[in-house]
Amino acid sequence: MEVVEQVAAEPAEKQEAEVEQPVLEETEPPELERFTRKDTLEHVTALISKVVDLPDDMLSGVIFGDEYDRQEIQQVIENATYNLVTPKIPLDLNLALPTFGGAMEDIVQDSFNKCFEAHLPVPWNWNAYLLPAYLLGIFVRYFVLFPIRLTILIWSIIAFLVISTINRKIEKDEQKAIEKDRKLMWYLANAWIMALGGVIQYSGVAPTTGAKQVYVSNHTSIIDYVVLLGAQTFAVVGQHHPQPLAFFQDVVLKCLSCIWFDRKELKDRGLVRNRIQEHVNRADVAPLLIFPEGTCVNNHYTVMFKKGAFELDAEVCPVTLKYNNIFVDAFWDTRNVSFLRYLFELLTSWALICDVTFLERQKIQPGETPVEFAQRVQTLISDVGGLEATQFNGYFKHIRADKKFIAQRQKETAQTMLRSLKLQKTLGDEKVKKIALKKTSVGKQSLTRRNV
Amino acid sequence: MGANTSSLLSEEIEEIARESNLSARDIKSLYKRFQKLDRSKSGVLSADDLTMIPELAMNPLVPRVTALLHNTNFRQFVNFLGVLSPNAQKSAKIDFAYRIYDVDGDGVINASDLQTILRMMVGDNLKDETLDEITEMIISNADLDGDKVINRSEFETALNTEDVVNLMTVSTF
Repeated sequence: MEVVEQVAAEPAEKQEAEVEQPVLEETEPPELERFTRKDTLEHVTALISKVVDLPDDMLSGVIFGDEYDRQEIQQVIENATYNLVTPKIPLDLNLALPTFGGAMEDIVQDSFNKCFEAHLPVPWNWNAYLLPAYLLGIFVRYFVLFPIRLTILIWSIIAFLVISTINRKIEKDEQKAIEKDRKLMWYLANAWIMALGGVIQYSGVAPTTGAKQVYVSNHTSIIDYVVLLGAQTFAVVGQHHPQPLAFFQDVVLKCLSCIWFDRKELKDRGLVRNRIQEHVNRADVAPLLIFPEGTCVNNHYTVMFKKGAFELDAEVCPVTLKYNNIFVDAFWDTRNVSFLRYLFELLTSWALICDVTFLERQKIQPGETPVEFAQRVQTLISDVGGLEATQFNGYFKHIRADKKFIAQRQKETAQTMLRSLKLQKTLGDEKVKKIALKKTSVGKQSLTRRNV
Repeated sequence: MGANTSSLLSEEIEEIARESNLSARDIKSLYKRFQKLDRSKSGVLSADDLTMIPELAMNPLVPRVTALLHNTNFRQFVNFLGVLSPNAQKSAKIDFAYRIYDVDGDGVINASDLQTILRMMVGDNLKDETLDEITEMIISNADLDGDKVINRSEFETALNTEDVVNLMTVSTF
């Protein structure tokens, strides 16, 4: 596995070297450790002898250039190097076992689904001293807080719709009416945060309005949007939900010109991209907010940021949302929990605690691809929130992983097998067995440690 | 809330635990896992359920895995995975590894078994001749009695059992 990672890291290193070149010219060249020809040969021999048992006189042939068959020696060195640098697939009955073992591990527990596991509350109340306090808490949460909060939630929406309708009747100028609606929306969002018992701490670079900027954030729940609306109005790009959420999306949020799409309708994609760029070009609309993970993650991990938000002609403003799940898990497990059930959990908890950090604006660097840019921003966001960044495609929650990944692995396996076969033929079975004995045991080949 | 093991009675858990090499705790967590994987809530795992694990869907041996696990109910699922417990018998683990290769289930590993597995691992990237060559080499290296197939005892002799045990063990359930 280490070898694979090194190979993957190489292009990045090369790029850095290219960028840094002019700086290097100004400074003194670093003092290189000089090897004599003999040292080098000894070094190579030592490396080879780690994997192949060569007769001593043959080794001395390598070092001192004795009358040995040069081609044979070259072949041995080549094969030994192959053996050192490639993850070897043994051509014996071990063949399929690492891959199969990896599959078994993934069945028992896979790291993809870890990103979407809800936090289970630890029972703390089964104690004679704590139980009365707990029961009192239940009473307050379900019979005092919940009705008050539900009332705030419902009345704030009604108030918003009434004021907004009156406002539209009085205000003849369309643009001014929308601006007033946006102001109203900010009040509404803060009423909701109050209703959810939100204790939200905003920090970092204050968000601004204007064109050519797009806000990107990690995604835990639909509540993320409400939390961010509490700071400033944003238009959002997102999945169109069934009722009751559709009501909010189509009626309440109408003034923000949000972009809704259906994940299952793939042909929408180009259309959505155009609408996003159009929105970002305009200064008279609320700035756009995108959740590049494309799915709710449990706020302990981040999954792959899709490149869409990072190939726009706009500055990227990263935002980290880190929830504290001491009272309630903010993660909305959409597969198992309905929206109303989730909302009920939030409304009956003591508080929803969240740290919102607006990070420095980022631009794509010269030579950086949108995918690399997306990864860089993902790392920034993850680091601030103490989240573990993974490169899983969040859509795999809903769709099956593509066969192309298998094809890629099969290709690699075939190449390695061919090399092993060549090696085995050149050296004969006895030598190969010796190599196999020297080799440390083969590890399981789970994809978990791979960058897929 | 809490772990949803309500439909699994504690006597059942104990019974299943006794049958397998797993603790009651492992059974509970496997039950949660099973429920999560069984998207259709049919009580059995289908190949389609299993390949919704992205890492498994990216595994070249997935046809073999799903063939071994297709339509298993919870008890079969536990029995299947129980072998992977650190407490399971060494010989059971080797049996398990042997079963992976015995694709046609005739009790021995023959050339066509191996070729099926190899084909899954390399796809169309190697020629038939190359696969034949590899298959022949593997069999001739392990075949002690010269009958061109590998039986259970030849299998055990050919492999480093320590390695097999490590590969067929999952530490956390």
